[in-house]
Amino acid sequence: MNLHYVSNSSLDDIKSNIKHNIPNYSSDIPWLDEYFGPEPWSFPSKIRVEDIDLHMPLSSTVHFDLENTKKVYSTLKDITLIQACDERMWTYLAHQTFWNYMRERWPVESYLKKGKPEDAIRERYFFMSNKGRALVRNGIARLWWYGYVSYDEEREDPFELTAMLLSKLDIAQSLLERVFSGNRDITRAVLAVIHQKDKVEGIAVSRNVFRSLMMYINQLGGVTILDALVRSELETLFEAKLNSLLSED
Amino acid sequence: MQISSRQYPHPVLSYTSDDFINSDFQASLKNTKTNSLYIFDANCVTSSDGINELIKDHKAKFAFHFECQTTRYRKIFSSFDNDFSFNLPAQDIEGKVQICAFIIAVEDIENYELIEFHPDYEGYSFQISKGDILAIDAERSFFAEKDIDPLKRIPSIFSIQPNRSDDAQAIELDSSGNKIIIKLSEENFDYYKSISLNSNFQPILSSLIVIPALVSILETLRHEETDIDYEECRWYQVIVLRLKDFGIELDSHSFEQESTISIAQKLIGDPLSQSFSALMNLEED
Repeated sequence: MNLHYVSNSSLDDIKSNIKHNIPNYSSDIPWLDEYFGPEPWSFPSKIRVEDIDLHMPLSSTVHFDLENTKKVYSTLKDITLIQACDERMWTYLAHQTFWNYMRERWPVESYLKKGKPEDAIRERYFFMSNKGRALVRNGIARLWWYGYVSYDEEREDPFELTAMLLSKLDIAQSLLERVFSGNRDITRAVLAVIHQKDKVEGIAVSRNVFRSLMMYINQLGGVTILDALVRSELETLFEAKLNSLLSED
Repeated sequence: MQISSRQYPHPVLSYTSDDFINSDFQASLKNTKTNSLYIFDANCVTSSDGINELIKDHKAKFAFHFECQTTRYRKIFSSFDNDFSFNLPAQDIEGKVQICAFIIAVEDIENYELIEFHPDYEGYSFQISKGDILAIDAERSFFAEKDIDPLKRIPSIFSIQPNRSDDAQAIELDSSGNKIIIKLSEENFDYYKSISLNSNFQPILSSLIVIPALVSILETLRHEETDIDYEECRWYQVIVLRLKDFGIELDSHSFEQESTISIAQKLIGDPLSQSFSALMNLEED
């Protein structure tokens, strides 16, 4: 298939009218064709990719994020960073190509009771205004970014660190919403030391220890330019800190 | 990377502190762009003999740190030379890119102690780790944008859309994205679409819709009544560029003194006079 984009004007329309369109987000089928009528609202890009068949979530806890990350990232591995930040592409995928998946994974009904469903729709089906966060909150874009920050071609299983990233919701959120997560060497170094502890040495890393490690990296980044260090140096630093945190835990 | 007045565990040569006496560090950067690359020419100088010695011994180096909030791109470019060049792929950055210039340690340094330190540090030495910041220059930013060019017209930063809410106002604004979205009630949007088919009426539509929106935006910029970082928005960059054409800088006396309505008329190209002219022609017809 060729990747499609929502046109600029159509994106402006549906994003401006989220509140009015809330009922449409309960539809069993994609609704933009009907909404725009005869007006063209999307266009094909030159990016040709294989069809992606996402795993349907089974429940609120069994959602196959790892399997779907593998599928989305493997298929779209070669897109540029600018393409990966294009709201028009992810909006099309969320509203059209993967509508059934979005309905199961991010059903609007679960937000109606909590109030402010338009904010939840903006966050999951579009890009929220915080650009850094938007990329890891959109229902489909997040799957690509999970793969991007964790894929490690040097490992026998390149998605081994992705599995670590998605093993606990807290890890993905804590790691990806930090500014340093734009540097893949840093994210992969963090995941590598956690993986070594948790999966290889069998020493559980608690939520508090992980958060303390994140705080340490933030503080360290204020004095040391982490981007100037190579991955092995980062791993050495993080591992030393993790060991000291685990001994205090 | 936001560099505020941080406290460091060792003396840092910086324009915000007096850790060093009679020393400074200045870094300049010029950029040109090809279709696929941003090419940067850097020049870095420090008057600190001690730091220059460390650079000569390859124990420290000059570095520029790039960070793009839109694409999450982060990278450092460094050299032991005062003058150096580097390239950045255009496909990796978009929007506001923050740039910080540093001198950083290339290796661990035991007993870091320089003659230029403030006298308060006399008798003290410090443990420096690889990557630690030794000097900082002022933070700067540039806007990486393939669509921003000096000829970009102001109307292109507006997107006029129907507001389909039951309680829609006649006209509303949303300036949180890359374009300023003007939302018209459905009835007004239908009028707008019909009238816009006649090119003679364009200046009248600009006067009715775009001018009030632009005045509202200029007032907001003047009073900074928002917590949105407008520098991230494409429309803001276009307005800044076009204001410069009229010798107006945001935060300057000229911007504060001139009325926003006259600035808006200038930016759009005097639609008021064109509207009167169109209406007079209409009467003659």
